[in-house]
Amino acid sequence: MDEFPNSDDEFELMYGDDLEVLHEQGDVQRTPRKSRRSLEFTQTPVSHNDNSFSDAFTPLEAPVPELNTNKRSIEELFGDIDDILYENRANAKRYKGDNADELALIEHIVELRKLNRERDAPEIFRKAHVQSIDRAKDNLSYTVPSYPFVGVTRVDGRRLYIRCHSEQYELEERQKIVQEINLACTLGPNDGLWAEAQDLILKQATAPDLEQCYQPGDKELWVDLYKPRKYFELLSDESTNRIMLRWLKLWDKAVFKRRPKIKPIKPAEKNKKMFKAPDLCTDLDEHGRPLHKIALLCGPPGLGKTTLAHMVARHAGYNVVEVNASDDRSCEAFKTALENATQMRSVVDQERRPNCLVFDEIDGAPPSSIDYLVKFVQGGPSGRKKQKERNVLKRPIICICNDVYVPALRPLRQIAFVVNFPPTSNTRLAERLMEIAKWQKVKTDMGAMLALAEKSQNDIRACLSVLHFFKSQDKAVTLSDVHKTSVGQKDIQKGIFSVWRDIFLIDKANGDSLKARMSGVLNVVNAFGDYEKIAQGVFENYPNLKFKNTSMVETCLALDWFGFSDIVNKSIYSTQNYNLGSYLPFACVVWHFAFGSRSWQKLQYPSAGYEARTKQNRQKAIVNELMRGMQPAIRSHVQPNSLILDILPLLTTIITPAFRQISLHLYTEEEKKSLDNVVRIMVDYNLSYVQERTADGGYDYKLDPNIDELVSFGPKKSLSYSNKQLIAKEIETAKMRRFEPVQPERSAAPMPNHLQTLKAKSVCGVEMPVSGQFFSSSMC
Amino acid sequence: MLWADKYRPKELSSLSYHKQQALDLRNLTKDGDFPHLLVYGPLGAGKKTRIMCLLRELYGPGVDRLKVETMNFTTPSNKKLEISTVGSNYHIEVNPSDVGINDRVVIMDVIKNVAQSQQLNANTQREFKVILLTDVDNLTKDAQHALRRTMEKYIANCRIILCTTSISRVIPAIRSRCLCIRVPAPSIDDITSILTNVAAKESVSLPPELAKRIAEKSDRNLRRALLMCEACKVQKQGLVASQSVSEPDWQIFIRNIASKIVKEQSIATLAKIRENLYELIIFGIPSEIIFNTLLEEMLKNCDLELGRQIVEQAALYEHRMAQGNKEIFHLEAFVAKCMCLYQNMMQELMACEF
Repeated sequence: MDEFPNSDDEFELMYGDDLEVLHEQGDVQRTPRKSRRSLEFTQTPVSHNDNSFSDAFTPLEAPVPELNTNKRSIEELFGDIDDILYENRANAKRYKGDNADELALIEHIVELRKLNRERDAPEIFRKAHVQSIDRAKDNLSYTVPSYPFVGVTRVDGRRLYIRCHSEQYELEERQKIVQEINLACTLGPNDGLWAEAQDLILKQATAPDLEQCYQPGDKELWVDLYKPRKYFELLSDESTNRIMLRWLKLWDKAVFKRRPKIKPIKPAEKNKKMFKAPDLCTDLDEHGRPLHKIALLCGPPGLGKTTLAHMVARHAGYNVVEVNASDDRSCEAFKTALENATQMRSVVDQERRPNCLVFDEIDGAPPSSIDYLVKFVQGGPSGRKKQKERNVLKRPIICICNDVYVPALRPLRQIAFVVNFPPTSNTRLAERLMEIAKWQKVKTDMGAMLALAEKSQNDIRACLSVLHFFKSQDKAVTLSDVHKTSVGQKDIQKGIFSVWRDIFLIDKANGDSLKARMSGVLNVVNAFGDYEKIAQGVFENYPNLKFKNTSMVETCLALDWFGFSDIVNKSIYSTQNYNLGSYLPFACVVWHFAFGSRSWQKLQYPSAGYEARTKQNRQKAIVNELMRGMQPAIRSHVQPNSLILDILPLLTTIITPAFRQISLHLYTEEEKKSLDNVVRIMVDYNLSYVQERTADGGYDYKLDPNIDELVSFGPKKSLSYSNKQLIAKEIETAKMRRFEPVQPERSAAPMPNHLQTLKAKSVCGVEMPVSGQFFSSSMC
Repeated sequence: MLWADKYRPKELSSLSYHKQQALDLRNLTKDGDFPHLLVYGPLGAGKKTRIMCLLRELYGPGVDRLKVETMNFTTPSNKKLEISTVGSNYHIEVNPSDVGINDRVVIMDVIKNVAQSQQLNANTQREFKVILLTDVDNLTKDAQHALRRTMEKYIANCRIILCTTSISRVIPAIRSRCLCIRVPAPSIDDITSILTNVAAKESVSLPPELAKRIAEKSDRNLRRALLMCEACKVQKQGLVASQSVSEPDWQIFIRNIASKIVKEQSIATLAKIRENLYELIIFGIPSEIIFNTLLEEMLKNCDLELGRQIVEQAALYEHRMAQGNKEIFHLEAFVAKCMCLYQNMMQELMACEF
């Protein structure tokens, strides 16, 4: 403790194994806040019942005229409220029409209510329950009622009877409502009334909680307003939080000169917990630093990576220095930031905490900066022994990124401790949203929040923004609102592999109907967009997969669509007619129907096409090389096409006659002639043998350019080493002989004239007067 | 030297087949001038030989003193490219498709420059040069359009000879500006007699049966026939009639693919065939030729009705391939279709039997 000047009491408490206990305590502390939710909760579901609707709000509205200084009749207010909740009512009516739907809804409500009861304190639940039963007593009954009813069994097994109204009654009710609405609307501008009524309802609903409310300034984002203030308020995955903290604590020895209290995780515990994060290596190096000097947090946006980094760093007693994309991140700026943060200590801060550097959004930083960071971490950019001592990194660095596979991050990835950020748990996020909604007096329910969380893929930031938006609209947030609005919908781009998987997988969750499957595939494919890549991946993967329909007819159809997509792609690229792109996703639907299967299968990245292309380019280069060196007389009659198709395949046979392996002067006349012929052909076609070292250390002669590679589809017979050597030597001499006749021609060219001008005598004669002039000019 | 190069005729008068055509060409150049020419015909029919003979007729033996030159040029997007040309003092030979889609620049820059420059000494020689463009069917449409005006504008300074295997991909505007000369493939008898002649000159005894067999196997491609003959001679010192004739590897390879299609129709086979097709493409075999050869091999295994269907499908898929970019998609689709048709036929046969 005393060695550690800036310790948090909290931290000491939580660090160690009693963290779990503390966490539970935290939960318990939070429970009372939730209590009011149950009331709202029970109100909303009941409201679908026509009769109880107005009943339910009567007690709430009754005191309004007394409280309000404005003189206003109850009818007016009623009209307003009906207006507000008209939507609900309309929904309710729709449900009435279909018995099955109604049952489903009721079941859902009952289920949610039970969930609620389990979570909340029992007496509160009872109170709420009794209330709701009171309100609904005309329409709901536990005993068999006298009016027409529908029987429902609750999840706990209890029978419930719900009143059925006649259609005539419904019609009347509806007309009544319509009249009320008309009345309300004719009363002129009612925005103010509406808002006031809403306020009153909220005041009543949340009055006991007011003391717990944050007092928000309007300017602040909710994300900042409701940032976790304590470690156990973090919403992110617990194992991730802990592993980050463990890593940071490993720095204790280097930073605080204190032995870190690391309890090794027991093997049994390890297995049980199934950490997604990689096992943290707890060894320290000679400076007392952990092996990984940098932690790299990666995951999709809005999960709380930045929050976690800040929280954990503060928790472990550091002062957080953040560098993010809004700062200058050129190599120079990076350097100063790094040096300032790691080698200096803040003076202004009274607590004098050591720094912890957080590089946010590092995937957008220039590669040179990242290289510098890596070099810095690996023992100083200078690299000299003397300076090394000074430049040793003594502070932890946390890097945060969305996409860990950005090419620029590759060097960093290799040395950093990579923590993949798993998505926040759905319910935990929804609970937190409920709390915030309550503090902000936004009327909502758990179902809506769960839906919201799901819709935004557990993006905390997006959820809060949507809530904020609804708050500014002054509206209650219901399940249908969440589903209806496009707010909070993220443009989800899946990775290429998951797109392929969606094409090859028939997912039962998405529904079995062809229509549902089609729209599912279309959605995924449209969101991804790179149709050519998708097509290539499907094309290269399908033969290796098992799918149910293996008839050739289906496969033919699917292959036709590959052809179609190819043609469309080409015409898009050649004419820039991008309108045609809208036809491409449908090919994926056909492939899905043809190749889809129910089992999950391993897919591979399509590389065959790319490999083929690179190999093809290499072959082309070989052909070009061959053409370039060919004798002009031959070349003028040879085209690349005929070279590949006719000449080369047979040429390889022609230049490998059966030579005996004896020395040249023992060859018969016939053999000498054929050797001579081979050499001449090879010179004509710019071929020769080149000595190369083989893998096992021996030497071998290879054709150069290597046309064997170009034409042989299988092993070919080849000459023996000595023969090749012989031919190679002969080719050299033949080439020299070709140049020889040129040289005498050159010497025989009109040289004499040229040589005479260079004769020394004439030059001397010219030089004399020059020197004379020189002297005379210098004399003067 | 290869026999094919060694015994290539150099004079129009020494050509050994299509003699009437040779005579016509000679008459064409009699008064020292001729229009633009478009020479077309299958591989190994002797197009180039005829063109060179014609030039020799026109300019004399100076045409044979060839040299290879590299020309540099820059595309509008500032990409530096080079193209190698073969030429003599009187003509220049360019294959614009060497530079792929930049061939338009070659036509515009290189060809135009050559065409624009006038002969210095027009009295001692012809007043025009010859530009020989090969592989014209691989020219992009843009390049062909660029060519058509050049052909008319510089007619005073140059004649253009186009050389191609098929004129179907040459735009009609160019076809109408040229005198089209078709060089058909030599008949089997022509090839046999040439082979016998060459063998006699090389003092190799070539049995007539073997000569005939080589001629048949060569697909009426004279160059291939000569090469095959020479390969036979290398493989075995004394040629015998029953000797095996070695074919180009890729033909055997495609034959294997065809037999695989017939043997088993399943997706596993399809996957194996795809690997083979990739290999063929890698080795630079043009996909049209893969298509053609595959079709021929397939037809050997089919009855008339199935054959008709397969030919129909081949036409369809090859057309699509020409429209698209990725040959492998269309080749595989064709293979799958063949499998499908074959399977259907087998099922029908089975149904008939029972």
